[in-house]
Amino acid sequence: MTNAVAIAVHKLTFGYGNGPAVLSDISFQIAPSERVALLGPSGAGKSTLLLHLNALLPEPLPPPSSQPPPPISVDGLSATSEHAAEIRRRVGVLFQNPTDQLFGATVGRDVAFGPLHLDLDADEIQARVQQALIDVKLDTFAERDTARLSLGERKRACLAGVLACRPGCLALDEPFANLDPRGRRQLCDILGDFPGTLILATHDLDLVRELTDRVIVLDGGHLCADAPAEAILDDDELLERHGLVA
Amino acid sequence: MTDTNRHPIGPLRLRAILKLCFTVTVVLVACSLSWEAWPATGALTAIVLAALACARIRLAVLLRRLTLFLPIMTLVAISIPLSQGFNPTWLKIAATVFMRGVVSFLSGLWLIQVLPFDNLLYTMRTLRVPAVVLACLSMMHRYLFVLWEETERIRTARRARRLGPVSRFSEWTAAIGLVGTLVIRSLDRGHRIHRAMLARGWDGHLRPWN
Repeated sequence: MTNAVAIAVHKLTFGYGNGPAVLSDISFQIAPSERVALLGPSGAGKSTLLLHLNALLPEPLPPPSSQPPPPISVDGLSATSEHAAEIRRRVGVLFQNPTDQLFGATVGRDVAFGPLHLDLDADEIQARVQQALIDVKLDTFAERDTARLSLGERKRACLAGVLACRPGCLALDEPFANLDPRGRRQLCDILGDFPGTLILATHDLDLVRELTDRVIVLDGGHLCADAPAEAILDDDELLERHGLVA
Repeated sequence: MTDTNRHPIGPLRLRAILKLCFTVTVVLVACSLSWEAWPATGALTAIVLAALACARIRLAVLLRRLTLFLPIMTLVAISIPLSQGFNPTWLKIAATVFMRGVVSFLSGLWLIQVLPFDNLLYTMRTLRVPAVVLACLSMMHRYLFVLWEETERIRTARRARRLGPVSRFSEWTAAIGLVGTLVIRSLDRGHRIHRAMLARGWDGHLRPWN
């Protein structure tokens, strides 16, 4: 793993094309090794925010002031196309749908995709692939066809692909969605062992309590709350107001 | 994950190479035969049918695959006289194009029945096919099944909402709608896959992994 990553978001406003703003005036900072949950109802802007942290969306406009800090920065690097490659080395994103992220023919080849694009030598790539598969408890799956994996295995294979790049920050989009209890537990244990910065977009409040120290609540593209996890999770009225409990 | 190119070619690999060479030869010969060479085309078709029989491919499977392919080939065959005019030889030209397509399709069908896809890619790599071609084929194969699953999901959802008998015309209209939905979903998926590749360092240059 590279050093844990610090993230700063400053007055981020963003909409797709000419559509309405999906994120409005979002500001927060995440310290290295901090573990943060992004909570919010569907359509709150959580996935869009995670994509911005990896410089995967068009650059948002800077806030209107004379010397504005960039809307998103990772370890002081502005999340623009200029720094995209470096930012993607430091922040690993796990997407919501593992089928989109698992494009290799076999698990081993898929996990090797990231290290290959870091231009590492063959031995180092091999070592990283093996270590990542051990980390996600898929060490016997290197030659397995990616089309023949269960959902839980697919999610863990995707996570291995991200971990093989040794990022300092993991940004995970609904990693526990549709997993059975055993799959959730396995994934939760793996994430619990990750030493870097963790940003977790989820609806699973039990796992938020277990894995994170701080919660940011988004609703309708606005930042509605940012506080220690316990304080947010014990505030029934706030959770109900933002559709986080039924 | 070692480089197999450094190892001598064993009997299994040799057999795979022969299968691939047979298919390529059949396709090349079928495409180079002129419309006058009907006996040769017939002999080639017979060879391919014999190979299919030896591979114990069931007739039902063969017919099911041909049912999907023949309408496309028919359209391709008549597109030539449609574009060049119906001169006295149009039927022969259309029949030649049709037969070339069918023989090539059958030999391809034989190959994928007797050589698993991973093995096929492996064999092509042994024959030094460029890595970029192999990567494209591998990805196409991977997402072909994803698309097929997507198609099945759409069809199941449609059947679940069908409460009575449906006319053949409605079936065709729904099938056109299905294709449209599939195209849009495929574009969306392609966009998401590209994003996932970018997130893992994709810069447009393929690095093959042995």
